[in-house]
Amino acid sequence: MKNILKVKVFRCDPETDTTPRYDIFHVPEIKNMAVLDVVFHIQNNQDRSLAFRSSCRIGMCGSCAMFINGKARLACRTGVATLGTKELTITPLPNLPVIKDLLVDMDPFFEKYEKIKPYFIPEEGRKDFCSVPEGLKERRLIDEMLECITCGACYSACTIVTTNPEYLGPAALNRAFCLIADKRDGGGDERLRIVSDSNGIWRCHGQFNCGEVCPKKITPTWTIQQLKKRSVFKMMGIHL
Amino acid sequence: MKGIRTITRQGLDISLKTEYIPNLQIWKPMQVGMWAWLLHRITGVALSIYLLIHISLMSIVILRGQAFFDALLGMLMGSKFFKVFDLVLLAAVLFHSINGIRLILFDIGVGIRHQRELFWVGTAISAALFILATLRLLPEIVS
Amino acid sequence: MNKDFNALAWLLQRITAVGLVLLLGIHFWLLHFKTHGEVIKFSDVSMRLHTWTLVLIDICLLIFGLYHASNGIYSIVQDYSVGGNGRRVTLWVLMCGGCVLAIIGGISLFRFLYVAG
Repeated sequence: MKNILKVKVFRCDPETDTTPRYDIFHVPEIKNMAVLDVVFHIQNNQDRSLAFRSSCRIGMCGSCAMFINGKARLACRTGVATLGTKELTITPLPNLPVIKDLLVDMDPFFEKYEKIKPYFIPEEGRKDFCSVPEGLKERRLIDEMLECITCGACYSACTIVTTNPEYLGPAALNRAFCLIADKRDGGGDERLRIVSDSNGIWRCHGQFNCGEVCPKKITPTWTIQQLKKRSVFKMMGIHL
Repeated sequence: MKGIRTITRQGLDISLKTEYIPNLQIWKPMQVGMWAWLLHRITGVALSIYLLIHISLMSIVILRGQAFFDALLGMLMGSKFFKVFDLVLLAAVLFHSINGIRLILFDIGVGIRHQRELFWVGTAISAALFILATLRLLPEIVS
Repeated sequence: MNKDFNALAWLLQRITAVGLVLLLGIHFWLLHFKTHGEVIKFSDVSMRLHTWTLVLIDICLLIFGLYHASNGIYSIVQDYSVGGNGRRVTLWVLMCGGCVLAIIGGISLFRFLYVAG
């Protein structure tokens, strides 16, 4: 007897609907099925109008982040078996406007990302190469945080983002740290000033939701703590 | 994306919204960090209100004089309700301070990787101190 | 020193937090565990406050407590998308309210000290 999954999917088409609804689908479970396989099955065989994002299907691009059974996760990296139930509830990521069904508008997320100048800014007046010794402690910190695939899960999980739409959010602040802490980059002071705004690092109160949902096992709370440390030292006139 | 009409969370039908309260659902299974934050905030607000009342009451001596102060404190400290209230206050202070110390440890970079364990250790310490205080105060409440 | 009020407020919140943990510990012990539940009278308070260290503890408690509470409340307000004007008004209300309460508290401490009790 094949296992049948009961899948409740959030549906909303702004062109035709005035209120959203949940559609129930029954999907036969296959071995090692991921939630992405589930939505593909629905789209291919049951309802062609289901809208969702996906690309690489191997947890690298960050496109398929959805709210699955109460938690923001990558659909391609969430095995149905790990959910521990045959009933799935799939809704779009919170804290972001819904375009259609499971598709969210990532613009607010990326606008905040852009605010912190997420690109390399060369140091003024440097004529030679910057030497970064192997095994440098701060490189290890940055290397872990560089894994971010901007999927938006952390941004969706943080309740401070929900209550304060101006808050920069964990992903943007994490990216800011990667560059501020990088010896080779020259824009550290400017970025630190940007994140030390009252809608920046100071809005983080250690909920740890971001670390719970990150598919790359990053803990933005930790990164933000590092930024707070740098900001306080800068305020006291101590330069790290 | 600018040309596409979007429906924000605010525009959604309320019957669906109440069934789906996004960030709160991360509580099952219990997400310790969220509980810690929420309780810290609730106790913080409660203690701020208490502080306001406490300073006002103690300062009543300026307006009403010594005899009034003695009578007021006599009435308050003599009542059983007040003693129970004192215990509730202690619980709030204990939780808020000990979780606060946990937060300060994070601020200096200690223990972020073990935030759940620190929460449970802190709660255990608060509970132990609270039980000790209750035992101490119980004879006065019950008598 | 750079003018980063957010960082300064954050730092002072931590400093007052540690201060309060210690001071409140002393305050609770003095008032609840030393007295064994007898009703406190004006004269008891007056006598206690004739030691300058205890006056200092009470004044520090007042200032630290009011700062920590006001900053905490303001932090909560900042966590919501309150408009710029709302924030400014709240900030001034908290600052003025805090100062007023500190002054009232200070005056009442004086009252305990300088009336024969």
